[in-house]
Amino acid sequence: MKKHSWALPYCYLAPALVLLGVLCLLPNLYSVYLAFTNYSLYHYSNYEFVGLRNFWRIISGPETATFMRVFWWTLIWAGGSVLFSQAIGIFLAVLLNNPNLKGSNIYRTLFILPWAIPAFISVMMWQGLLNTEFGAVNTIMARLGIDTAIASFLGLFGIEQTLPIPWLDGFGWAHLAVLGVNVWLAYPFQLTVCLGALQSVPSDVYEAASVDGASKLKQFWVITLPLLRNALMPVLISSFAFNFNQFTAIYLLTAGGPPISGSDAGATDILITYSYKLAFNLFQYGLACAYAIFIFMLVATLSGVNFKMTGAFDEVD
Amino acid sequence: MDVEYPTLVELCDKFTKETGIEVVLLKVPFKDLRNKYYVATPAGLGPDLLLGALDWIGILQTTGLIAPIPSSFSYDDFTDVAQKAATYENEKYMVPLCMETLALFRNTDIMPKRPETMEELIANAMEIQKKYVKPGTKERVNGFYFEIKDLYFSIPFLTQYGGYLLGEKDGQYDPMDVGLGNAGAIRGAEFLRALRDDKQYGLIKAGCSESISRTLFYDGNAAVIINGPWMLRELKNRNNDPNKHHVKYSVDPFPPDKEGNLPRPSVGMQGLMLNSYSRNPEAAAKLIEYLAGTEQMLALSKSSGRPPTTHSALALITDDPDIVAFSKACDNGFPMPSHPACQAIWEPMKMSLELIANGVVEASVEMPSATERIKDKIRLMME
Repeated sequence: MKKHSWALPYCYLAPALVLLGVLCLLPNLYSVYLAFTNYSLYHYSNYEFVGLRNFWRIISGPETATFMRVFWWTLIWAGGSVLFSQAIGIFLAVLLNNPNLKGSNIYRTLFILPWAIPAFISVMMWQGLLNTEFGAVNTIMARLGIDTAIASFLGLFGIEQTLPIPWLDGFGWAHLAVLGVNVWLAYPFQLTVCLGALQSVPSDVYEAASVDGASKLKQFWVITLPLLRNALMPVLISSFAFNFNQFTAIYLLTAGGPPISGSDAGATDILITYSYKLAFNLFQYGLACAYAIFIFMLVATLSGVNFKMTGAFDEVD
Repeated sequence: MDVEYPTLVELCDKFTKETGIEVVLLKVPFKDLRNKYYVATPAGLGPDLLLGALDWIGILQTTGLIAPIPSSFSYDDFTDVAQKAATYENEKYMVPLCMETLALFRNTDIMPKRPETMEELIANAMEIQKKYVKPGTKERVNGFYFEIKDLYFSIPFLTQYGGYLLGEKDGQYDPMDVGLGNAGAIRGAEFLRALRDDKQYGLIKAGCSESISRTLFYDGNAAVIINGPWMLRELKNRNNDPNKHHVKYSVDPFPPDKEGNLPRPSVGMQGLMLNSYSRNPEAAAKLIEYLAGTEQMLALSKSSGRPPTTHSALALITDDPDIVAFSKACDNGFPMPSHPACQAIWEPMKMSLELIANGVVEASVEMPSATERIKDKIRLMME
């Protein structure tokens, strides 16, 4: 019995390890290698090792301005998506957690729908809905007069806005639209996690608080949020890492968004969509791989922080 | 090229009966075809003959994946445009079977008279967009609609006044000579801005796309769109389907403007290329000879709606007004450069055209600077 026990775990792990090795590890190592070459359309079969040239180009070459802009927008994008989706998730979870609410099952099902529909399909639908000339959003807003209201509101700040609102082609509007759709995609997950976490808060704490005279709002701030924090922290970090690389939402909605003069990356391009464009539209495979390594380092750091904080890999004694 | 597939199958069966050489046709979705060829061919698993598009020649030759067509094949009967298109670095790499280009699709119910000049087209379109009401409804229609930011659709207007994609030096394409920053291209880009600008023509709003233009045309909501022969099959199917809206249409080549400047669309060709790793070059050469024959070209042309590329086949196609119109449009066009540098032009130009059309930047500033950036990119790629 004892003789086989040391090999058995490895045998169980072997199929998964082999698959991961071939399908994930090898291609990643290859793309790390490619980042140090000048593999591109012109150097398709005779590319050569050029060392750190691609990385220099990103850090201190003509690429730098684009890289910094895309990097900051990626941070704002990931942070904003997580912030708003968690806010909505917590708010709805607190509402749904109320035992006096009738039909909470129905509400819960309806609220989870954006998560249930495959993201690919729903984002393409949003792309159609947000079309400037023919999209339903603009048509309905025009009929209800909401768009003229928005234009006059912006006029108060001295911003001239031509109608119909260019949701996917205008500089600020594309950012809003893309964030909005991503929050719509992301909040059901946050809602589910918060609902689960709320179950773990014992109800007698609330009773004690009401006896002490705390209002509902105060109870929320002082009791609910701190207790939820431990449960939500890992979700926050892993959500951030997930949204950092959320390719589908951006690429299918705006394909990187309204272009910016003098740059290859559009206004709503995040690092991953820009890297994709470099590889497949501009055929600069080496540079795209260098970007991919940057993205990997950033996300790996985030994941490392996550694991440390949650102790996910601590040995159980 | 999937509409011609049944015809290809028939022709290849006839070929097998005549010569006894067996032909296996492998049909691959168009967007995957190029990548599959790149991957399979160096491994020795590629096809002997590749039926692909003209602008692939440059990349495939640079990467060593296609071989020149044997000199025993005669190009005498092919049109000048076809011969020029098939040549790359003074060698012939493709036998073009049919050509395609962009032309105007006009809804003859909404705009019955064919416009003789571009000015007339724009004036008619503006009038239609302001006043025309679809019969039986209260809806307006679009006068003139196409995807402005896509360089492929806009290039006729850039070449109208002297712009060009890639210049030539010593009979070959010069990758450093990108003609999209010269005065002609700027004037064309200003025209594109005028199409979007509400203060000028204001015909096309933001968010235009090729698929929307087709949908509008099929439903009778657009008077004139720009598209190519690949749309004909769907259009004819819809006109034969009793459940769908029927559109009376006419295909017209681009008209010149009042001063005689003619918009020149880019002409693409689909043809046979020889795999450099092919193990049956003689049999492949025989199949090429067969498919380039007049009868076979006519059969392919009829089923695909695209004009054929040899003089003898062209002389026999007089009954289909659409194919005649497209072949006239091809005469007016320029062959798509097959140099790989051309690939680096499409995407950046798309962004610049969108910026210009939206009025964010001036055409006279953006076109030259975009051209410089593209040249830098080409230089970087070639390093």
